Amino acid sequence: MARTILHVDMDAFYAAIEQRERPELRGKPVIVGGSVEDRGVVSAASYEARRFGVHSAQPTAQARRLCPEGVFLPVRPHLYRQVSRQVMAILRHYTPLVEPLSIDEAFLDVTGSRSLFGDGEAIARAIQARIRSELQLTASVGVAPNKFLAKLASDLRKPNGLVVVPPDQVAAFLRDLPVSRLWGVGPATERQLTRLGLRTIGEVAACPVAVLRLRLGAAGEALHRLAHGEDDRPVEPDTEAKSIGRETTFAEDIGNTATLERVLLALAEEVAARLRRKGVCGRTITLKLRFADFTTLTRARSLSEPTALAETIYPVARDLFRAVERDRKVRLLGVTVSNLTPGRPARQLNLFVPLDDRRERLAETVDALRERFGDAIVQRARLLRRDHFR
Amino acid sequence: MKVYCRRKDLYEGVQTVGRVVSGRSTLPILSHVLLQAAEGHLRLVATDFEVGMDIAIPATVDVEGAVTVPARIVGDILGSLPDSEVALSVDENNVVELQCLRSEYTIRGLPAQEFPKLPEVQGGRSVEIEQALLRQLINETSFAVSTDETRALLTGALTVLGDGFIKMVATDTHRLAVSSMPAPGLQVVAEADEAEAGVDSGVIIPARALRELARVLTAEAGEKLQIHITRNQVLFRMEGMSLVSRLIDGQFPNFERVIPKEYQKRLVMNTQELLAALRRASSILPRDSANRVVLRTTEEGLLDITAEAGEVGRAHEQIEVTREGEAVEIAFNVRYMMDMLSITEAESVVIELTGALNPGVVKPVSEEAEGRSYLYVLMPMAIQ
Repeated sequence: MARTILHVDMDAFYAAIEQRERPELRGKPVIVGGSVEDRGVVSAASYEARRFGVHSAQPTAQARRLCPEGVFLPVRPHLYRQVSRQVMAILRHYTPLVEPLSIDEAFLDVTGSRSLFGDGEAIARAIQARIRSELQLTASVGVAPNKFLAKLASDLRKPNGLVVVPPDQVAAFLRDLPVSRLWGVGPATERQLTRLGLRTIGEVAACPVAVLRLRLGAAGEALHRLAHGEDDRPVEPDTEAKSIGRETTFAEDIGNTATLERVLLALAEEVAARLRRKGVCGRTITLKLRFADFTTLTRARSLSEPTALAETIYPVARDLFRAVERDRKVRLLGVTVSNLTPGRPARQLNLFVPLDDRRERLAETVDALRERFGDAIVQRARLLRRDHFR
Repeated sequence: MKVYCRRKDLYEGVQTVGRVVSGRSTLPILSHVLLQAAEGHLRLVATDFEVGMDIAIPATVDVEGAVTVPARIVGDILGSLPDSEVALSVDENNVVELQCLRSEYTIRGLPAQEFPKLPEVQGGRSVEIEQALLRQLINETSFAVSTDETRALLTGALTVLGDGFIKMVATDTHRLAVSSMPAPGLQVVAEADEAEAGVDSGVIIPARALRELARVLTAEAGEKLQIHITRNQVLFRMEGMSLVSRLIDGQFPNFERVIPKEYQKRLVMNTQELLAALRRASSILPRDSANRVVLRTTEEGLLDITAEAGEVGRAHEQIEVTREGEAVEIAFNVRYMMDMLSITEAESVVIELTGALNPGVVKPVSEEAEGRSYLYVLMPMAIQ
C-alpha cells in the first residue's frame, strides 16, 4: 500500500515569529541573525527581505549592503524553540509518526491517520489552518508517497504552499526538475551529471543505471532510484536518540573561568530540559571544549545513576572542565548526555539522604512554566545575564 | 648486581607488585619495579605514590645491588619463559641482562636511586591478626565502596583498630557493609600523639590497597600479619611482604546512624537458593539498567522474585522463605544483593525489614564468635 508522507516546512520561521511578536514589522524586510560586529551570518530572512537577495547563511554585513532598510534583529533561540514545540505538538495531533528534521520542519507519516482525518491533502490543509489560527504563522506542506518527494513538494510553492504528488504522477512531477533537486546532489555531483548530459531528473531516470554506477559508484544507483521517485526511508520519530547535547560557539573567544562556567550551567540546564522533554535520562556526561586555535578535546564521566537534572549534570561538567589545563582562550563549549535510558530513573534510595524528589518536581514545574510562558519566565539568578550565550 | 632465582617466583612477584604500578604516569620510573638483591633474597618494590608494595622472593645473590626495570615488559617476558632458573645481572649503565635457558634479554633499566622511597610508618596504632580474618573483613566490605571518583571519601573503607576488635565499614550511600573481627593485643604508641590523633575513631583506607592486599593474604589459619595505622598511612606487614598506603583524608559519614535499630518483618532463606534465583532473574536485566528486582512474600510461604525489562521481558522466580511479621513487598538493586550473598558462607541469610522505603538489614545466620559480627544495610529502590 502506498504511504502518505507529509513534509511540513515553516515559512521564514524566525523572521515570521519576529513579525508576529512585533506587528509593526509586518510587510517589512526582517533579517534575523548575528550582528556585523560579531562576524555573524543571517539565520533567517522574511520574504520581503529575500526580494533584496538576502538569504540565510549569508554574512550579515553583506545582507546589510543588499538591504540597507532591513530590520536587523538578534536571534532569540529560546523563543523559536518554544514556538517549534507548539508546531510539533500540532503535528503530533495527526500522527505519532513525526520526525522533526530541524527546529522548523518535520516529516509526518499519516498513512494510518487517513481514516480519521481524511486524505493527505485534507490533513495538510488542516495542519496549515491550525498553524495559521493558533500560532499566526504559515507553513508550506508537501504531500507525497515518500520523504524525498514530500520534501521536494513542500519547497515548490513557498510560502504557504501546498503541493500534492499523487503516486501516479510521480514521474511527471520529477521530469523537468533540475538534478540539483535530487537528495545528495551537490555542486560536484551536479558537474559530473552535466558532463553526462543529464540536467533534469527525468534525464537521470532515463539514463541506464549501469552508466550511473560506472561514473558515480553506489551513489549512482541511489540517484537512479531517487530519480524514479523511489525512497523507502521510514519516518522515524526521534525518540531513540543516542545522546542529547548542546554546544555553543562564542562570538569572541573567552578566557574568563567564571563566564565559561556560567555557560556550562546554561548548557547543562538546556540539555537537562531536553532530556526531560524526551522522557529519558542519561548516565554519561561529556564535556566538549574547543580552544581558540581549534584544538578540540572531549572529557567524559559516567555517573552511578542516570539523571535528567541540571543540578547533577552541571557539577560533573564543571569538574571535567576544571580538570582541563587551559592556556588559551576558549572558542566553543558543549555538554552532552549519553547512555540514555527511557523513563525516569528507577530510584535507588539513599541511606544518608532522605527520599527527596523536590528537585525533580521543581524541574518539572519550571518546564511546565516555560512551556506556557516562554523560557524567560523563570531563570537561575546566575544566568540572568544571558547575553554571553545564544 | 647478580642474582639467580626461580622464574615462577620472579614472575609472580613482578605480577603482584606490578598491579600497583601506575598505568599512565608522567613519571617513567613509576611504571618500573625496583629490584634489590641482598642477603639471600630479591626484593621487588612498586608504587604509584598512593600505594606501595614490597615483596621478597628467595634468590641466590652473587653480587648485591639494585636497579629498576619496566614492570609490564619484564612481566610479559617472564610470563612466556619456561619454568627454570633465571639469572639477572646489571651493568654500570643500568642495563639488565635476563637469562633463562637459551633465552637472553637485555633491558634498559633506570638507576635505583631514582626510585621513590616508600614512606616510613611510625607511631600510631598497631595490632597483629590472622591473615584469614583480615581477608574475610576485606571481602565482606570492599565490594560496597563507591566507584564514584567524585566522592573520594567513599572509595575507601573505614577501618577501626579498637580495643580487642578490628572493624571495617564501606558504603556507596546505597548500601553499607559493616564487618567486625576479634583482634586482641592492640598497641598504641602513646608518645606519638601527633600520629595518633583521630586514628582511634578510624581511618579510611583506599579500596584499591585493600583489594591488592587481599590477593596476597592466605585463607589458611595460623598465618599472621601486622597492621599499623598512623594518621596518614597504613602499613600491612607479613613474612616476605609489606604494603603501605596513603589514607583518604576526611570525615567518614556517620554510619551508625543509618543502621536500623529494630525491624517489623523478618525473612529467612537459604543463601544459595536466593543467590541462584537472583542470578537467573538478573540475566533479563540489561547492563546499565536499573537492575531492580521486586521481592514479594506469598500466602503459601514463598518469596516471589520478579524482574522486568521493558524491551527484553520478565523474570519470575520463587523460593521458600520463613517469614515473621506482615507480608513483604520491596524492591532492591539485584547487583547489590548478589554482591553480598556471593561472599557469604553461611547456609542461610536473614533479611530484616520495616517498610518498602526503609533500609533492610541482611545478615548471615551463623553462630558468632565473641567480637565477630557482620551486617549489610541495603536501601531499597522505589516501587513505582
